[in-house]
Amino acid sequence: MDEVNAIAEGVWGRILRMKILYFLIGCAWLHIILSSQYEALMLKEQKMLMADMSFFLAGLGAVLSVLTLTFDLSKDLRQGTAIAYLSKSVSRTQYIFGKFLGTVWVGVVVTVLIAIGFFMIHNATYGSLPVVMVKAHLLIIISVLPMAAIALFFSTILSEAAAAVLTVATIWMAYSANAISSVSMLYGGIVPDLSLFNMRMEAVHGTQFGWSYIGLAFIWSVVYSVGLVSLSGIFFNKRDLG
Amino acid sequence: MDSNKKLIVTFICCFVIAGVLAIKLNRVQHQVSPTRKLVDNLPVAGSQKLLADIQWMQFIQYIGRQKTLDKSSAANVEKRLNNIIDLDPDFAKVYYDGALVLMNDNPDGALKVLEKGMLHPIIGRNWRLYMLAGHILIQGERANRHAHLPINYNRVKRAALYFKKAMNCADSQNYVVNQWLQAEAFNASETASHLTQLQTMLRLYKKHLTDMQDNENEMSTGIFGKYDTQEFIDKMISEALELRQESENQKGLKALLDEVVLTVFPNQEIDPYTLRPYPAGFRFSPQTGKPLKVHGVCKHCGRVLKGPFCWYDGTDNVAEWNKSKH
Amino acid sequence: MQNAIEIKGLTKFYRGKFFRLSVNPSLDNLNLNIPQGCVFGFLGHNGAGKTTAIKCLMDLIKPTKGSVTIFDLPVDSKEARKKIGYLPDAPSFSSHLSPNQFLKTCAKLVGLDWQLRKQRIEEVLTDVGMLEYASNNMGSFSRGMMQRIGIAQALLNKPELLILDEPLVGLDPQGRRDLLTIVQKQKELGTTVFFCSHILSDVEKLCDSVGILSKGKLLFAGALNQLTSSDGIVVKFPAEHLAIAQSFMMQADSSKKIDDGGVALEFITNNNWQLIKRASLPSNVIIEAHHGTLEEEFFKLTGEDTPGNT
Repeated sequence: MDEVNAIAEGVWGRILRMKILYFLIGCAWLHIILSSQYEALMLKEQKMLMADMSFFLAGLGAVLSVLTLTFDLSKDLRQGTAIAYLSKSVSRTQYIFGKFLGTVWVGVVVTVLIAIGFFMIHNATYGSLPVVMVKAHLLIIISVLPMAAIALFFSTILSEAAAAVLTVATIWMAYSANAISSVSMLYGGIVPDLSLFNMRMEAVHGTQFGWSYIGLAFIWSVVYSVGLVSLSGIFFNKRDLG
Repeated sequence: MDSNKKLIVTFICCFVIAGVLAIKLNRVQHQVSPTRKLVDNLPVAGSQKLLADIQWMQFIQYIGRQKTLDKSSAANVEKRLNNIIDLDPDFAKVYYDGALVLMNDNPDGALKVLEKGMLHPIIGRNWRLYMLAGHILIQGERANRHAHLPINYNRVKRAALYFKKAMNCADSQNYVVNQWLQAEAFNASETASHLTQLQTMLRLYKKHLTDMQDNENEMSTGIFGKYDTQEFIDKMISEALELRQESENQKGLKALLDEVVLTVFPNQEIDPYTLRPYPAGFRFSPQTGKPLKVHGVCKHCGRVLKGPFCWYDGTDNVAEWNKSKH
Repeated sequence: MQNAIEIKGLTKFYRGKFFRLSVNPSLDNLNLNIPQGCVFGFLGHNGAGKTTAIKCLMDLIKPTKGSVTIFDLPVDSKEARKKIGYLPDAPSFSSHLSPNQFLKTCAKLVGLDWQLRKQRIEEVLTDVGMLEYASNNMGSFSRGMMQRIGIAQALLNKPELLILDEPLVGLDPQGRRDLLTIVQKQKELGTTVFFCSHILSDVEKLCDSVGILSKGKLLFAGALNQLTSSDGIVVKFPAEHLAIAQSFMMQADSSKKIDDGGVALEFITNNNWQLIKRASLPSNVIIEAHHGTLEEEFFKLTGEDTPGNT
């Protein structure tokens, strides 16, 4: 596990040291603050807009965070860093799992920071935050897991550009493809169902849902991610490196 | 086991478990939020809610720019509203405010928007939607009547139905009853006059009495379960007084007024001026000062009876007492 | 004695377009045993398959056929990897990291205890002469500096087997000398060193054994002195005996002038050698055994006739 943590630290250590990241999070907070001022434009529904904006930005932050993995892994392989690490006593599966964990950590930090910004702004503007908003943000944070697994899978089998494009396309489709939800095992089993983490409408309109839903969603994300990381490991183990 | 074999087994097991969990989660999700199935499945990566907000902003800007709504802009407004509803069916404001915008220039469009709201499991409990829908329908037919154009009684019936639904909603206001009565009256007669309205109210009160007799052990429902019976009676009497004031010599009015007071206040002495019962011993009407027929007093000393025999001089007043007790 | 590396029947076909296997193998039935404690030089022209072989040793590439063991352990096992230090060809590590940060990660991966990490990192950086650059970002490093960092990370875990792929490329003369010193030191410590290089003179200086690869086939593997063993004689005639030298000029395989004005004749072909032996020569004529240089033997074996075509 130390080896996995070392690889993970390499990922999040690099990204979380970037000043641009915090600048972008600051921009997200600014967006949220500004949207709370849209009373006239929204006919007094600016609170709803503020919440929606924070959900959207947190989701976007999660996607951009996991996209870094598609570039990171390919770059490491190209540069020789991966080879240097893989020549040590760390297996390929441990290596990609470390990459996955590092990316998850980055995504979690980004989404948590955006969520905290929203909570503070909401408290300052409208008073205490409804619990259902916290739950909806928590779901977005949890959704980083399967998204990172998707990014990892594509980056182990494809080049940087193709991996990035397919990762975005898959995440997009996973939020939108309710059309195939009738094929139950397929959608959520093989094809990820990210709409399970989309309770934004419910949160904004105050429809309550329990902690058990969040617990189940978390378990699904862990199980799905482990499955997809295993599949990535199968491909990565077979691959010629360098 | 070879590490690759372990990975294959892990991958297969995880995907099967994930599939089962996803089915359960989907089910729970739809239980929590039954309106999810109404949301448009646009491929927008789950950002329907934000898009709905943006479209709402754009809608407000659009409305603000229009001085009046012509046919095409009214159709455009309806389309915009439908887009917002498809993206966010839980957005309550869209239905009512949107219909308000449309009601004069595109009443059918406004009705469609309201009817969408009526289908919503939560928003559909809002009495204002039904109230506005009824108002839109009946307003149109009143305008036709005023312009001596043919009246569509189906729309009037629909209006009455909507008003009744509004009345049945948990927090509706009392004036909804007025609207319903007017609609019922309009439905009953072309003129929908106060006379017709009073006749309708009397008919409903008689039905209520019949219902009460048939279901003695049950609480009353409908308007009397919701609105106090005394309130309804007060309303009827006010209507009757108003009618008498408006058109005292109208044919059939006296008979109707007599029927109303007899139905509402059976076996009671009625003040002909206020159309309400007055207490025993009253010689003059407190409201008008006009003389009243005295009742419930001793035939010997004229004091108010407290029982079948006079409390002052013991005179037998059994007949008078039986007549006046209620 | 246990072999450090055992390669049996190693064959590798790369996949080309549409995942079809290439017609010619990059490695063709390679069999090689390298004993412990040996310094083994692996030579071959460009595209011979050296790097492929090394990557098979490091389990970076999966062979099509054959097997490789490191100290009798499978190459993909953690136990084997713990004993190896590897320097890839032309390394280029994460440019945003400093040597300290990079080596810290490597130290964690090799399982170095946290208390020893800092000390060991300083040691290896000192060995490669990069201690003063320990906190600089590697993005600003030259190729030679990156090479030194690569050597440092290979040495971090005090490996029993050091695998170096073109270790001398990009190094300045000081760097080359430092590396040669490091290899020598490792040799004294009993570390098995396996490296490939194009600088044959350095291979000749360092290695006990060499292997020569050409088009995926192993042409020679064995002790260096076996390759460059005596294959004839050199007769050095001083200036006063030039006339005698002249008489043997036709039989000699080659001749060259020597410092004192005399001439040295090389007799490699057996018959000619025997001829000289039988001849009576003045006492100040020196007869020495002729040893071919590695470069010469290399070109002979690989059939390359253009020097410097490496």
